[in-house]
Amino acid sequence: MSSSQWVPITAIGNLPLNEGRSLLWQGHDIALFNLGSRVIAVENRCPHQHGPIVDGIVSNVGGRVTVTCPLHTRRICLDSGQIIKPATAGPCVRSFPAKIEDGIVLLRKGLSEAEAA
Amino acid sequence: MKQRLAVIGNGMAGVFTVEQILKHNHNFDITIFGDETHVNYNRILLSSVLAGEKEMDDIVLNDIEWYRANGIQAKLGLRIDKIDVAAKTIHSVHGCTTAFDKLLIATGSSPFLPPIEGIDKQGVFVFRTLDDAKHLLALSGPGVKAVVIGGGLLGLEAARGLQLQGCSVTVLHLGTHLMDRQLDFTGGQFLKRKLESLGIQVLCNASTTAITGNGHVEGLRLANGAEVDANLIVVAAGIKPNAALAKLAGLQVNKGIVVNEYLETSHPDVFAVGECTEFNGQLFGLVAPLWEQGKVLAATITGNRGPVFTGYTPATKLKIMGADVFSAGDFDEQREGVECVRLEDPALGIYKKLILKDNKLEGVILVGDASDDHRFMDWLRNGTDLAAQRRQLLSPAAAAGPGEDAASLPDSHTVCGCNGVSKGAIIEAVHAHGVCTLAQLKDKTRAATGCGSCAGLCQSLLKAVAPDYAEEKAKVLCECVPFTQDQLREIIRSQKLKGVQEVLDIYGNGLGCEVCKPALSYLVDVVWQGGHNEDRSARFINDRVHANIQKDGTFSVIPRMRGGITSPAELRKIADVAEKYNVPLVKVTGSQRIDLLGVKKQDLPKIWEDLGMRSGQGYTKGVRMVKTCVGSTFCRFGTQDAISTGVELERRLEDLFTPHKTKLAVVGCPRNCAEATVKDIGLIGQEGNWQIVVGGAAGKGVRKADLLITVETTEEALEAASLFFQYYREHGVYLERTYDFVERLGMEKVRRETVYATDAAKQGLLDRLKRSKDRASDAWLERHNPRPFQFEPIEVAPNGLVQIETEEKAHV
Ligand code: SRM
Ligand SMILES: Cc1cc2nc3c(=O)[nH]c(=O)nc-3n(C[C@H](O)[C@H](O)[C@H](O)COP(=O)(O)OP(=O)(O)OC[C@H]3O[C@@H](n4cnc5c(N)ncnc54)[C@H](O)[C@@H]3O)c2cc1C
Ligand code: SF4
Ligand code: FES
Repeated sequence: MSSSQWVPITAIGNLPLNEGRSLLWQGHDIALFNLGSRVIAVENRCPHQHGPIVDGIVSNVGGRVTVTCPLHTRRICLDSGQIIKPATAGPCVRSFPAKIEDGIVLLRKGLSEAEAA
Repeated sequence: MKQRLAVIGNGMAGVFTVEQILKHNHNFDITIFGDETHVNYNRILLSSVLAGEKEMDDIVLNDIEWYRANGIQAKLGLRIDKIDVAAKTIHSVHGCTTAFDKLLIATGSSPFLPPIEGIDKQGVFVFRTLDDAKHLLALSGPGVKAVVIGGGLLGLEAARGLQLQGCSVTVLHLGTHLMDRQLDFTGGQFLKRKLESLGIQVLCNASTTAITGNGHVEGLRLANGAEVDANLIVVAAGIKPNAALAKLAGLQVNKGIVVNEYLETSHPDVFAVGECTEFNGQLFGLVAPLWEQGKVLAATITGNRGPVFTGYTPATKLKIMGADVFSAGDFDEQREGVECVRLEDPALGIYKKLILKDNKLEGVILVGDASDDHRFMDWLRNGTDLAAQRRQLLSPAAAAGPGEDAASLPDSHTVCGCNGVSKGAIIEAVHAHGVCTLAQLKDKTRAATGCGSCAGLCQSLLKAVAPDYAEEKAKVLCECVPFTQDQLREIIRSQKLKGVQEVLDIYGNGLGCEVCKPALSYLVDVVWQGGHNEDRSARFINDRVHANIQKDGTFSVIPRMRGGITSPAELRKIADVAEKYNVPLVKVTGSQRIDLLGVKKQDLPKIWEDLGMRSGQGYTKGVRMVKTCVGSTFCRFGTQDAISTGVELERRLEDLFTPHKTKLAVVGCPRNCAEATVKDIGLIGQEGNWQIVVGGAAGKGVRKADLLITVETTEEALEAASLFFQYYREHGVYLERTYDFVERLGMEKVRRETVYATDAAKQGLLDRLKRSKDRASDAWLERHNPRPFQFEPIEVAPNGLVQIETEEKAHV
């Protein structure tokens, strides 16, 4: 995939450290999390009852970076999208490729459902 | 690429070595692991802490600022239990793994516990760490019979400390004379007489065969059949290097971790310093040689391998005022070719002895006057030729210091001095009333409710005699920071930590979770009375946006409406706002105020602006409302002015945070129309007085509030409420409502420590409340300067980018 498909979104400084900020982009409600060394973009929708996970507290569960949904404290692994506490086999939070380059947060453009899966 | 240097042991030698490394041009990322929760402190001065000469804060060597300023990661309260030298990782007992390039082991040593029968009984202590000192301080006091096993340096300093705390103290020493590794027989006798004149009893040739007592110590049995009474025992029978970790890792270990003259271990990337090491068969128990080791190792590890460690000349100084002892070098006078120069003055208690060989000093002992120890140490170190000074070797001989007052040794068996509770009364409470927790004991006998210093002793007594003794469980906050909230308060205070992240970095896993972060946010706020560093990422969303999140991700807005009082103008404003922002629901709440529900996050600051009202804190663990009834203003039964009193109470406490939400009410008569008897704090007006009730609730459960006090004036009523409020803030566990809080502590204690406390204690509570209040402000003032990124989502135009410019960073 060529780098031209990466779209600059915002300066990393616009994302508070260890917090989430929401982004409306290409029809998606996305939660961007600034973890200091990297940025993570996931769908802003908790698999439980659609809570806004962007408003959750960034946490650590057994060494995994998670976010805790503010509504009913499901803990969601930010790397796998899985609810890991309470452990559930159910649906995942969808994640989007994101990276930081020269202090700018980039997302990949034209992402179809198939690519994301 | 920086190299990772991990240091195990945050003690004197390890941190000193790191200080030396910093002086070199180094290339390390340094992480220090220590299983004590304290920053590096001067262990030597623990004796002074126990003797009451120094406060704990006085003995800090490197405070948190030092670690931070030097880019050193401190991981405290964390014990390392495994080193994998092949994988180059170390592992903590909590299961976290850290990789290293170079490893420095500085684990010190541990007290040696001789295999005496009963040594595991309650009431037997060692004296090595600040926590040990704290425990001993808490348990010692008049009436306590303390026995120290071991008449070496450490044992004697412990003995003196305990005695200064009021204990009656006996030292049991196995050898023929005290400090037998540093003194000859005569020196030991002089020292013994000195200590006895200070009021410490000394038994030599005393071999302890058993510690007796039923659970808790009651005494000791000696080899000669003698019995000694004791309710507190300190074992100071020597130390053994903490080398097990290294041994398990496969490093070469004898008694200590074997190091060469460069302080290298048997593995090329692993080094060791301090009391855990063994060099040329020599072990260490004093800091001076460790400083030498630290300097050498700093050179070795930074690529300047050259300086070597050559061992040391032992030199000891006993730090007991009025019982000066100094000893250095080899004082064996039986050796071939040595001469002995001595001075003995039994009346002054002074004994001095020099051992010379070929006009050079080889050893020295000073008892009773060690004022010129430096001179002797110089001669010893430098090998000075003393031929010219033979006539003045022992002069100038200074006079002995003024005699120490022997502390009085009361003969009573009182356990709690403040309330005059005897051991007998405690045992009676256990047997006759089935008391089995400290809280129950306090309620029943008042023991440990004064200064509290006997609480440990009471607890030990309970353990020993109560069949159902239940230790009040200290629950750790969470796995991320495995300490109780009491410990965390103490850590935050003593280590001067002002932010959540600092606590997590140093005492936790560095990240935290939704359980500990909000709790720590509360703790740093209350400990620093609002002077903490606010960290929004550690707050629940409600506290980031000062509104309550709803099931659909919108928010509710409840403005403050003190005492439930509003006005036509205010109502009009609320109506306008509701229309302007299409608020889906306007509702009168169960707490006498108005709720705007279903508000979008980005509208919040604008709504606050348009309302121009204060935040009602309906979203946080803080002061909710003070409900009021109309009281004497309109009601024909009203005896007190409930409205103005309620409004004033709310004004005094609003904007402050509490362990859980705090709801209050003021009613004008016992008909209780605003439900004050089921509030966290309620004021109930009566003819000529106010009743202040606390710990009530009508939520998940219903609990009628307990009477705190009855007072005459409104001002007294407001003060009583404030005292309880601040006391709850300082002692409540995060997420503990007052109804659990008063049950946990017992109303007896709550009353005694609030409304019936000493004037000074009450003033302290009020002062701290005032400081917090002075720093607190209405959260909705943030509308004037909303925190960047907090409310607005990022928007990206379909074709390109916006906001590449960083948004305004400043936020006050
Ligand atoms: C809005 C309100 C109901 C109403 O429409 O009247 C309300 C709404 C909520 N209450 Fe309440 N309580 C409200 C008055 C009460 C009262 C009555 C009172 O304050 O006199 C009580 C009983 C008194 C008490 O607290 O002891 C009450 C007992 C609770 C409890 C149970 C507390 C307990 O420990 O027993 C909870 C749950 C909790 O705190 O853990 C709770 C929690 C909640 C939360 C905050 C649930 C949540 O975390 O989201 C509700 C927010 C709804 C929302 O979407 O905004 N609410 N809640 C009232 C707001 C009062 C205000 O003006 O601030
Ligand atoms: C009361 C008292 C009085 C003293 N008075 C004198 C005196 O007057 N003069 C004098 O020269 N010396 C004195 N000493 C001795 C002196 O304090 C020690 O020589 C010195 O502290 C040793 O330094 P160290 O770094 O080797 O060990 P320590 O200072 O004990 O440091 C080692 C640290 O490593 C920690 N640790 C151990 N294992 C682990 C692990 N697995 N994981 C994480 N952390 C670990 C320990 O808890 C400790 O904090 C005294 C000692 C005491 C207790
Ligand atoms: S009673 Fe239950 S449903 Fe009603 S507001 Fe309170 S918490 Fe929500
Ligand atoms: S919606 Fe996320 S936990 Fe319920």
